[in-house]
Amino acid sequence: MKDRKINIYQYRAILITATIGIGLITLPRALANKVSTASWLAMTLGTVILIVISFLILRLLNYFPNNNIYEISQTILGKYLSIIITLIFISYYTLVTSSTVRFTTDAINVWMLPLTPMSAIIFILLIVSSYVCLKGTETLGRFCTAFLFFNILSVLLVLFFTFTKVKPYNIQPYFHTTFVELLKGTKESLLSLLGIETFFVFHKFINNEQDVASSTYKSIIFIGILYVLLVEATIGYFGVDQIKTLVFPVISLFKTIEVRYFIFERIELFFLTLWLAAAFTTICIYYYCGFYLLKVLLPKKVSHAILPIYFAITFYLSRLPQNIDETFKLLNYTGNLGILICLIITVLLLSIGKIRGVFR
Amino acid sequence: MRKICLLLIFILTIILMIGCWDFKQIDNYYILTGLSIDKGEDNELIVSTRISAPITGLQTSNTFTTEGRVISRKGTTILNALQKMSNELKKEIFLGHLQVIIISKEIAKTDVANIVDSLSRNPNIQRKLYIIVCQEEAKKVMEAVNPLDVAPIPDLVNMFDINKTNNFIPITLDEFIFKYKSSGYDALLPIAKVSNQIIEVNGMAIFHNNSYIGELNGEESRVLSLLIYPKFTTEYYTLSQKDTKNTSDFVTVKIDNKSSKIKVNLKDNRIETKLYIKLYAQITEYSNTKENQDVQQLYNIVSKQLEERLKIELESLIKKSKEYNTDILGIGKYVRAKYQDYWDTINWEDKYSNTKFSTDINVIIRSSSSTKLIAN
Repeated sequence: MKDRKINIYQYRAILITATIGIGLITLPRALANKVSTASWLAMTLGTVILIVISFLILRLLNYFPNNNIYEISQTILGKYLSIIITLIFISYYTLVTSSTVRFTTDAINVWMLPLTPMSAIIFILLIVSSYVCLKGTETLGRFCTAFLFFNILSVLLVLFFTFTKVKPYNIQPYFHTTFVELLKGTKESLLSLLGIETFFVFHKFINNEQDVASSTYKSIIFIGILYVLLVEATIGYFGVDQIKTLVFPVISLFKTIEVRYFIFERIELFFLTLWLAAAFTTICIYYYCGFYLLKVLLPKKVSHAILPIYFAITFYLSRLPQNIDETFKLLNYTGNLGILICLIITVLLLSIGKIRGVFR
Repeated sequence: MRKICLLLIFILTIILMIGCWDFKQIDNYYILTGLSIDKGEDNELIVSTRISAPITGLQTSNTFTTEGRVISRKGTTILNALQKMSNELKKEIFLGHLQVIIISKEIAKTDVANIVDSLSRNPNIQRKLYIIVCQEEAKKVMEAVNPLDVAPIPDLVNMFDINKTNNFIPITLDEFIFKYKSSGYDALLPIAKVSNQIIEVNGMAIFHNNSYIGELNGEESRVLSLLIYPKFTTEYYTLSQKDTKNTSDFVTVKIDNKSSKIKVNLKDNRIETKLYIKLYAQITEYSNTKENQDVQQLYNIVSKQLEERLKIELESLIKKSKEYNTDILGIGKYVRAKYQDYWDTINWEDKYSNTKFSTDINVIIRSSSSTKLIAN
């Protein structure tokens, strides 16, 4: 029981902060591009699909309450295949970390610190994440709980300021879309809703197993509702035509809002600070997941020295995209990989386990 | 080992994280609050700005004094001209506090797309800045100084923030871009004139297909504002009780509150639009009351008169918009929201002039302000 370090609240915080991240500021554009005014429908469908995926993942994890993905796949598939699966997971976590770090850096460079070299920002983001990694799961749990407030506040801030300014004609018609468009939109919403795949690492650390399933579903529904409101508020404010042209629609939204007698004249900087907390928690969680699996995979003697190498690889990958469009491509690619991992590997492990009679 | 690692990270952080690349010394910047853009002879842009004169010695300093230098530079783009300006000023120019952009009519006709792009792409520039079209040279607005004003830019901003006259509709960059880039909507910008160093904003410039095509006068702008700019503003309408010039026959009505609605319907492949306006008002000037006059009747007469007048103004506005074939009321966006399938099959530009309009104006006179019309 000494491994069970995080309580159910910390677990919820990890799930919510892992999900709310960079998608927050680009999601309305991504959805409006694909499904126009039916974005809410795509978002709702995405949430429902995510609940199904989390149901599958939890089913698998329930058979192995004390194991991580490496140990689970080892039991089901044997040693060598499990190494491959763990490596896929490690590369996925590393890719998410590096693309998220890069995107965050791009946003910081455009909106906050135009002169600061990109490598300096990436370095800072990763060095703090590395420190959290050294401290372990418990610290990460506490860290996410502390930052949860800022994550949710950033979404609430958008809703608060746009609440009275949403124009009904911008969000109508509600159902005008085709099936193919809706599918594309749903995939787009899933990319922003990913975060559940961190279960494969954290599940074994939770000290209150009974509440995991209900907590997970509640958290996902909560995020889903927040995101539907966020998308509708932003599209309702800007209209589909304008939102398609904005790189960071939610930040641009704050550029148009004037709050008289508020301490901050440029309120977008206030929002960006909150969003940075959201992005940073996502980075930290994925970075930790990759590092943790690497540690599990490698012999104990080497595992201590792995952090600097892992740091260097992530740093290098974050510097790879040449421009913001390439960053978007990388994010998209990583997201697709995430959906595949969640669906295919989970279903594969579940069905092979069933066939082999591993689950008892 | 771990301790050494931590120590190393700690030391590295201290060494690498000090200082700030993005530090800005305010003395090294000229903070611009307004820009005017004109068209040069050789098709270049002439960008002008007003920089408050530096005050030396023990003089009390105030940023918004009438003292200032108007500087203009030519350039192929706005940023190109600003860069030239910045080189000569020996200080960097900061656009983060830009509040007003004034463009000349010439620019409005040909270069709006470039200007909008330049302004919207720069993350420093606030999207809530105001844009105005100037009848003459836009630079004249920058140069205008009269004893009543403090300085042109803060005064304009103040005027737009309060918007008392209602002969124009203040439009921010964001609103302009929204209408400019949306289908089913045509953009508008207020028009400024400078005469005898006094800036007057009256009427709206109409944009269609990325360029200026015509204008609305003050009266038309006012009636348009009832529909698309339902913000609270104090407006007075003076109505004549009889067909005379006798002052006592005039009634002045002050609008207290207003609401409006636009409804569209598709009938026989034709859009029918109904414009609803509801106004709450009070009589603020009327001295010609007679004994035994029925107050209720007077209220009714006045409200009917105002309704009639607004109806005529609104119809003339609709006629003008059909002449220009511009959807300044934004009917298209309602059609798109309600009949998306129909919208996908048509070209709104062809259909707009064929749209049927009807109006429903309702004026309710609530009181006669602080004095009774008839003592009883």
